[in-house]
Amino acid sequence: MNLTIDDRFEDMLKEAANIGSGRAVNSLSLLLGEPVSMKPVQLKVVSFQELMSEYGDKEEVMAASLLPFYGDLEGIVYLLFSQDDINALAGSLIGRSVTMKELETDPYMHSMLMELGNILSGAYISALADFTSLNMQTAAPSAAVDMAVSLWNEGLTYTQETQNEVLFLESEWKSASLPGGTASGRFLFLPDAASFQVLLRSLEEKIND
Amino acid sequence: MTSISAGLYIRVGMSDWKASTDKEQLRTSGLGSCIGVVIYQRSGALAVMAHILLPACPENQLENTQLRAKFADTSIEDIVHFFHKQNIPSRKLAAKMAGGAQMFAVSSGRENKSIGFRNAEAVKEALQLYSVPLLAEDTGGDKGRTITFDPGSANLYIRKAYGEENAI
Repeated sequence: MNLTIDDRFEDMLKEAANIGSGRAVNSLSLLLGEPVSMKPVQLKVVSFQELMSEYGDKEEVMAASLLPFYGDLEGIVYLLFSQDDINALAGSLIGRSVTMKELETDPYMHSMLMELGNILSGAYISALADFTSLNMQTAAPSAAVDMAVSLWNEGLTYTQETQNEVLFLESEWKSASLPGGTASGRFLFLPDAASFQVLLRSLEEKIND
Repeated sequence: MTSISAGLYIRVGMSDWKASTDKEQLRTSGLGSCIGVVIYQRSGALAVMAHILLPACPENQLENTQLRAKFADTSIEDIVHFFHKQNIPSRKLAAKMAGGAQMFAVSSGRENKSIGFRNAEAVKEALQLYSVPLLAEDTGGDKGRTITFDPGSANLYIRKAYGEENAI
């Protein structure tokens, strides 16, 4: 299968992702009680080779939350947080900083991470389903704390079986005025290869309407 | 334990395999459900490391040379042939592997077993098919692994989060 996407589809895909991440960022802002800003969505095609040369030596421990979705479209929404992000988020949510070890081993902290993923990714998927009129449901969220390189590899290899590259939509958000500092993070929207075709067809119908 | 050299090693990317001909170390990073497998000459310098993502190559992709290194069956087949072509028979080879974790507790719906588990099983089956003995493995669990193979000692060093390290 060919992963090249022409310009008008690229714009439509980004717009769809903007709507998804817009609603997710809105829920985050409500949760934190502080404004959250968002960078324009980027459509990325990354080869496994690039992935390895960019993250191969990153042993920094990060946290990730993964929310699978299914229905007309299947894939995952993936969230990544650094230690600084987690400290700032936890500062607002529970009033203190949290180490990566705690996130990993303390069941309450672990479920905070999953819940964060559930709320944000759930908002993303429901906005996208509204926009595309496609049937999309989310499955149970899951979370992991591990080396950055492992999290990137595992997240990006979840879908798209017959390529050595992966296509995804990335949204970056930032909240600068939290008591615990600045938090930022990434949402990755990763449909499987077949779902990309479904999404493109549904967007095409929208263009032709 | 820390005989992992700081600088010089051959980096093996995802969905790829590479050979070390002169005892250079081989490394691949961030194995989650993926498997890192080393097939090496028991007394000799030649060693190959592969970073495998999935158990079996879809039938319509068997001819796709870009993709064969992604799957356990086709990757192991190609590596064993690589040794055979240099007149190194299977009985002079050995293998070690690591990876196959389940980092996220997500059920894929279609399968009961995790992809990591199925990857490890597929590698074992393929090694058995070509009569290459698997001497050691560190598979399963829920943690990512970065592995380095030292052909000189035939040790496979495994590194996890927070610098935790062991060797097999």
